[in-house]
Amino acid sequence: MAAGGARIRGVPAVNAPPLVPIQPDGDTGVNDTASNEHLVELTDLSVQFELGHRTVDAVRGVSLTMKPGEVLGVVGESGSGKTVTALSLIGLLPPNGSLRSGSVRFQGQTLDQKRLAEIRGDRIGMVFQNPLSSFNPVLRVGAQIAEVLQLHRGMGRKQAIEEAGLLLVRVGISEPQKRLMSYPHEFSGGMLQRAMIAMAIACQPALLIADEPTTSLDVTVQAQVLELFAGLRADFGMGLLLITHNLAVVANVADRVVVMYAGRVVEHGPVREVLGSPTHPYTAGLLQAVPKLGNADPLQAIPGQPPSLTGRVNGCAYRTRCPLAGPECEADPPLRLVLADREAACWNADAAMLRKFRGARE
Amino acid sequence: MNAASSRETILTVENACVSFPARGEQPKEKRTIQALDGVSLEVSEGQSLGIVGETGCGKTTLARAIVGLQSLSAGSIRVRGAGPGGARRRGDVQMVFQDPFASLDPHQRVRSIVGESVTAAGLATKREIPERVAGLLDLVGLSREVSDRRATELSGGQRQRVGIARALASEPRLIVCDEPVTALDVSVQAQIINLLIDLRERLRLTYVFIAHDVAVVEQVSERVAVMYLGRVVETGPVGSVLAEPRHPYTAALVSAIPSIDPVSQGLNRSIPLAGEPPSPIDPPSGCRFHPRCWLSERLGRPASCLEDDPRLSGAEGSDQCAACHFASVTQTELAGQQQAV
Repeated sequence: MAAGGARIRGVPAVNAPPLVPIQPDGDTGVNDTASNEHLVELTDLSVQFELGHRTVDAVRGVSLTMKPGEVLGVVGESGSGKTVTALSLIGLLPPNGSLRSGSVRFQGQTLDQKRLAEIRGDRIGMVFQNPLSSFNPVLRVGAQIAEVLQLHRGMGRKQAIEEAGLLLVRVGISEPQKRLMSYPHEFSGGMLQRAMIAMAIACQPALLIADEPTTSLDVTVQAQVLELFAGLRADFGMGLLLITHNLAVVANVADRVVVMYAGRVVEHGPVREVLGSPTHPYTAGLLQAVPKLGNADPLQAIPGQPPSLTGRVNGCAYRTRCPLAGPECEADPPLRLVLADREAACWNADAAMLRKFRGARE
Repeated sequence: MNAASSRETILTVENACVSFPARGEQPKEKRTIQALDGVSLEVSEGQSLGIVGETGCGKTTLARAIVGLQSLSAGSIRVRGAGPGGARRRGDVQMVFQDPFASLDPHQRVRSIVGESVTAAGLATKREIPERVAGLLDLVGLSREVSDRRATELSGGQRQRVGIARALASEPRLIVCDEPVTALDVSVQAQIINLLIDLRERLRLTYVFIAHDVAVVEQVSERVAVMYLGRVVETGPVGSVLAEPRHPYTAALVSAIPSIDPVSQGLNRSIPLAGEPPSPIDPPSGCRFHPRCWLSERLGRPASCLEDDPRLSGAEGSDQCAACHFASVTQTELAGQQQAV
């Protein structure tokens, strides 16, 4: 696959020395996949959480696929199940969460816990929202990045630290020698997020899972991080699963987008089309509720709030807030093809819905 | 006081400075962080002033100074209150906080959270309090059943409404909103923004509205102040500042905001803003923005940028002011910069 042998090029802004490929192809234990094969196939995932004596159905039958090198955006509000979906994918559910159903295939292989432990940090990298809580505060940043290389690449400590320095340069951190010796609290938020990304890409993963990677950052730093993602993708064909609540970030980075609501996928399709002409009323509602720069028209808020997922959700979970809700919504709408390459889970998702949204915008 | 149309100035901030002690590079070396360095602002009655800027630019310090939670090391902040002759009455200035999960006592019931504020303002007798609380909850769009719930039983949006009701309890004239919708979900954000706009009109409130999301500020405010390293670098009507910035920092900040519009796809930002703001312990000489400034670089790093600290000034007949020696050429150079990239 492209990732293994590719040389990493420096970001234009930083004068980075090219990294030597960490390992030649074929040593990853994974056969090269044909380009049309899926990188990730997640099928019918359901996750339940135990909260005291209540259970919460956090994810209810989610399926998604990614092609190699693709950027898939997952958007939704808190509690929509987007983070839990990502955590299940890499087997990192918290102890009170349990997998009710679902299977994951990564590069054509079914993943079990043992296989996952090898793959995490190696073929699959992860970046979380709050970088300060993702690092160990009492270890130097350099040692923490080097650890990944020692573990997965069998490097010696000295070589791994050297390599970590090159990775810091790759993500745009200046004075890497000084920064390797720093502790996490000595970094600013943006810089620590870059260090986190450096750690995640240390083994040139085929898939990077980024959970709200820019949410705690300023827009100026966010733009730098998004540019970094674009560069990494171009350089070694890394697939990116980008989880965020920010529609604008998805619009700028993703190829396809999955919109989640109450533990379900409610809409899915190419990002331009989904955000340009949504077919699910929730997607349409979200787009009208977001303030847009240069447009001070009153916002159209979605009434009410997301449903609580304790207890069973009957019918469409969005129907209590939906302007199109009718008696048909008492029955659970399946995710179905509504247009070419466009899926939506709504009985009313059709051309009429589309026209309505366009009319409202004009 | 004249008719409502004549807008008197409610808030006057003059040359406000706040400094914090900081540790230096060497042990026992003492240094200071200049969190606010000579900020001057005015807000008229019924107006809403948005304040934007990156982390560490002094937005929150300014908010805390306005409500009196932070004392100034120099300068003054005056609020024209509702008392006789504009005297400031207790409760004339209130604050809505960022995190509705941290700013409400989780175990207190809603009626006691809001009731406490009513009692403290001394605007109702004990017997009138329940009625006052019900009225306030009504005002912020919460049903009366909510008053018996505890904060932990409420959603984020409901909590922020309680926070707003609590701020309204003392019948304030000025409300400082520090990132009031940042912690909320997208679909709930719009509800709270619309509520704040509606309340301002109904109760003739004045807002100082702090947010890092420029689009949110544009929605709520008529005027905006852009802050950088403890200073106001640009101020003016929100539409013109964001559409035609005169300060190169404002231009860079606005261009970093990703657009949701699928037509303008791709990272179409055209103005690079290298690195992060320098440390306020040791701010750069001359114009504080010059090490990151694209305009200064385009103009070949003129000596004035490195040596002279620019003052906030506007063009003739315009109330849009920028602290930049070359503010007059920002727009023309911006067009050139965008073509070059």
